[in-house]
Amino acid sequence: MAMVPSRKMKFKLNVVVLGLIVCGFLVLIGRIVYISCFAEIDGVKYGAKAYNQQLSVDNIAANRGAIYDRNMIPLAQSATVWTVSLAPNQIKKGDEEKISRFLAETLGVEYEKILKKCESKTKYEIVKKKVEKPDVDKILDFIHSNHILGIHMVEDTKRYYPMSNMAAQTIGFVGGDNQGLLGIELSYNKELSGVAGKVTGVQNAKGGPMPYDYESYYPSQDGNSLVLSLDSTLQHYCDKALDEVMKVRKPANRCMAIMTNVNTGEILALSIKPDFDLNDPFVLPPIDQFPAIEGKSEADARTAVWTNKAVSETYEPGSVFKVVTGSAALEEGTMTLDSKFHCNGSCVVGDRKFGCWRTSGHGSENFTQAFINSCNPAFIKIGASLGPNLFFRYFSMYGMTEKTKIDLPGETDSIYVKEKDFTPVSLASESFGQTEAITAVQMISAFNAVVNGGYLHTPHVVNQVLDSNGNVLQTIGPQTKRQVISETTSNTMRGVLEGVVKGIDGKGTNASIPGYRIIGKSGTAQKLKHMQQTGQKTYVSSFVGAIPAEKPQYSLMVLIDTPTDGTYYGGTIASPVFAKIMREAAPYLGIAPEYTQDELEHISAIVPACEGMSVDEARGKLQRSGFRNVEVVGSGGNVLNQTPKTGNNVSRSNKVILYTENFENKMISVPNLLGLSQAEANNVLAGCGLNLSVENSGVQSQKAKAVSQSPSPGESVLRGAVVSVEFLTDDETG
Amino acid sequence: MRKSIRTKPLKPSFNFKSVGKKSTGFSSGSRAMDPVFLILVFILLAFGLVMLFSASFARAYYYKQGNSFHFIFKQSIHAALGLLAMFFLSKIDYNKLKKFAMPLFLISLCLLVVVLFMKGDSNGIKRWIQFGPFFQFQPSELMKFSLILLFSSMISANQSKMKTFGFGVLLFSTLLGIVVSLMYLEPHLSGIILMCSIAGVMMFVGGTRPRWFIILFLIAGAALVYILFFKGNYMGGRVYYWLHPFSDPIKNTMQTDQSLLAIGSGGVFGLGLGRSRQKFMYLPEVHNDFIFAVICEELGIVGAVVVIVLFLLFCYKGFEIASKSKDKFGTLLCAGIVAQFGIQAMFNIAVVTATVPNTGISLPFFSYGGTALAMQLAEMGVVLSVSRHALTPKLSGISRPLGKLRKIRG
Repeated sequence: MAMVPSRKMKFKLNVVVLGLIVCGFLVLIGRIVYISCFAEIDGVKYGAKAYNQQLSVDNIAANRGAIYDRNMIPLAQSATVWTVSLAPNQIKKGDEEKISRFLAETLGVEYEKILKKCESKTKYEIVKKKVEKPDVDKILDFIHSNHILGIHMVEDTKRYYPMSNMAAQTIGFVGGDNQGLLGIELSYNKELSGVAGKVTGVQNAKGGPMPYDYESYYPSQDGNSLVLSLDSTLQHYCDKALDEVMKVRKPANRCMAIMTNVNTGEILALSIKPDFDLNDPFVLPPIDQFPAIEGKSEADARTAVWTNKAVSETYEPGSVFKVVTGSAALEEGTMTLDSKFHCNGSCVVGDRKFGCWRTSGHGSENFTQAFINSCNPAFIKIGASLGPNLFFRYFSMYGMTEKTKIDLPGETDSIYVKEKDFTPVSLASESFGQTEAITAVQMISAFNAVVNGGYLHTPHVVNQVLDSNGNVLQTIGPQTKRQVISETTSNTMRGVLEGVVKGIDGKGTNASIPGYRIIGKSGTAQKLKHMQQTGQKTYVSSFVGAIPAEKPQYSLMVLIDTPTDGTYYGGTIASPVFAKIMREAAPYLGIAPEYTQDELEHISAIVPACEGMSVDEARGKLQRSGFRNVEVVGSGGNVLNQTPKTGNNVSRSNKVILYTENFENKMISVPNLLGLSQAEANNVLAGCGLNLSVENSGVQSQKAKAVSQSPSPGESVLRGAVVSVEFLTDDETG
Repeated sequence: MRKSIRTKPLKPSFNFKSVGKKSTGFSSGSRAMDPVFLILVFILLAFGLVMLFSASFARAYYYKQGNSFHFIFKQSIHAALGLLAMFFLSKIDYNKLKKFAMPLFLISLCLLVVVLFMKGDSNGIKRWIQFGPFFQFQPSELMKFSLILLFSSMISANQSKMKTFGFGVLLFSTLLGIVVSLMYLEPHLSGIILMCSIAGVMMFVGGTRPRWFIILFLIAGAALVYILFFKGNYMGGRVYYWLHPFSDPIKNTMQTDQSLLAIGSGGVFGLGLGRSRQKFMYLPEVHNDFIFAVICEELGIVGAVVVIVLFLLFCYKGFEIASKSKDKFGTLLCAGIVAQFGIQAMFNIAVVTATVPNTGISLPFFSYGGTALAMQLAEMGVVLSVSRHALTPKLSGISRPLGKLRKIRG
């Protein structure tokens, strides 16, 4: 019996031990119920927390909108590229080296780097971004033919700028995540980038998919496109002219040109040189094109190059600013066109002596002549006639104390003396534009207001917003801030400023273009801050003008910051650039030239082909082309040869020689014309049987001297060849 | 014996007569296995394999070259082997095991020493002995059974001495102490606790005076506190992280955190069989120690309760078999084995639910581990063998189907 389990044993086993086990399991059931339904961590139920970690969100990139110029020429476009990444934990053992070798070869990334990524313990390693289609196809082939796991490619977009350098600082560029970093790409980033879509679902702990269908799809919304007010052709004219300025004037602190629509505030061209390739924005221009960045860190230098000079930098407007002071005085009636001034070269205000740019003085002058002479003492008087309150009121009304709210990023504040701090000295210096520092867009907007009837507009670069299907979502029309001066005053100012471009003798200045009536004003400001810092006299030279004079439509500002070739008057170096650009731009903009009788005499024309014709036929043909000065050499009946040769573009006052007999080729050494006036040069050339072609044929003034010629003096040319010469006046008039 | 079973009529009702005889203690006992217990074993095994497949296929796919069946295949092979062992042992008179008690214990002890010279895992923990590339086993698994067998035979042979301190307490404590010391060197805390629990149950049922348990509890408790709080960072850190879940989700609390998240995902009815998300590499050891978390996630509270109820029924029926054994050796042997399963399951679920600090312990019938499963089924064979020699075989409707079952198998 002792073998059989006792009652006590059974009791212990079935009651005590089993009871304990039952109790233990009951506790655990309670625990499971608690964890399943009630437990929280940081206020989140465990189930929700689990779902959060399993949730996968895959972004679907939205296509970034394009940027077009006003004629729908693409300036910025996006194309699909791929981001190649590795999922190291999915890579099959032994594949690491093969993958690394292939990717290194295909993508041009270091082999060791990729191998390291392959062997890392992470879920996700980016190998290269912005990989293009041919490489992606190669990788896909590699994956399929070798049964590779763990290489992933995700679509992305890359930005292309077909026009490379054109309007680089204005258009701007994007960063690695397609976020706008500069210019319109930055200021319209939200509009352009669209809304990324996503696929949400569940993922396993390795980032891979789970075999369940939880996915929900939110489609991406492509970004909107922008149509700018910029015109690639006008931009090209500006770029071309500035490239030459860069070569000749070697500005230390860049140069720029802005063309606007006077009546709408649209920016038609904004060229800043030196610039950079938007497709490769981190490559800086050569340092000799931008000496001001010398010694700066790489990052600071880059920022300087990227800075939009027209918007994010202030400059001293100098005499250009006189249009503000002058128009205010006319509007308020403190001055009239008949007001008289006398300039003896300087004037004293308070304890300061202000010199005029012409130290000998301008003598007696009226309001228009004061403008033409750009006479500082006269403008000090005009400013004083307004007094600080009125002066400051117009200063503000013209937008000098506020940002223009142009649709470009990084607009800077202007620097000026506040009304309460005004002294007679500061009033005097601000009257002719020497103390204040404003942005170029502020100046050109104010200039537009002076000449367009008084309306100050908000300048803008974007004209239209298009959706991804090309439908117009928004049109940005002219936004008028206020009328600053009356139509009448504006009209008067137009007359005054036309006189300025015509010059004191009415024969034209460097800004003149034959066939066009131009209004404008040049300016030269000494850079006071730079002077204080370095003791060097440096200048910022500018010209702002508009055409046509009777009803201005387009204005153009040329600004050359710190020319280093010895010249500095705005009238000397900025005005010719204006003329050069406008001469091409005006016909493009549909403004036809209307020549005066005098201009018709001198206007250049293409010499027609006369060879093979009878002398009479040739004479008739030349007559029709405007060439009246014809000399016939020899006694033959037919023209065998002619100078200038056909196709040459020469002034119609030039002599055309027709040869009717064989003649001996006579070589002539080109004389030195530099420093001569146009008439003098013409005489010299005619004397040795050469022809003159005037490069900027707008200046008829005798004060304009030859500053360059081609071919150079001493070169041998055929008799009758054409020597082209550039004539410029060297002063602040115009 | 085997022959006699085959020739017996299908009706177990025949046993009525022999019951009387057996109660005299001279009969060789009943000839039918306990059908309810056998069915419980089958249900647990089947359920276990289904859940193992569900829990392991994702892991197998990612870590075993796309072979989702890696774990379930190996486990099924071992289950088949285990079933063979089970039926073999169920037909053998368990009393024949007595003579193996001491040798087996000594072999197990040797293996526990040998394992200390094995190359440990990445944490320097030595629990496994590797035989060739495919076969590995834990000596402590074998020791559990060896200890049960040894204690059963010692207690049943010296019933009268159990009330003495020297035999009833000191001798067993010493034996246990040797085993525990060796396991402490591995170290294998969960194994130690399990071993102590089993030994405690056997000594308690075997007749050691309850008052001594108070002292033993105190000693065990003190040792546990010492180990947990003062000994090294392996065991000591676990208490801290147990008390501060989600404090180090990358490393130290990761298993527990992910286990809790899995249970939390299940709710009342679960995400559905096979639809666990946590098993997709979030939950470490998902096919092993933390398989119960997947059960909770996929089958919810309902599924968890079903598993627990199955284990409770298993214990209830197991202890019933023990109680009806014809001798004390059978009682103790059966009680030890069944208690081992019950306690291990309870302990595993306590770890999975972070009710106790995290320590590696598997869930019988469910967790992956071929050798362990085969061993478990073999132990079931021993229990079934005890059931076949019951004093008062219980008659129920189930007896008849079991008869058929036997016929089919036979």
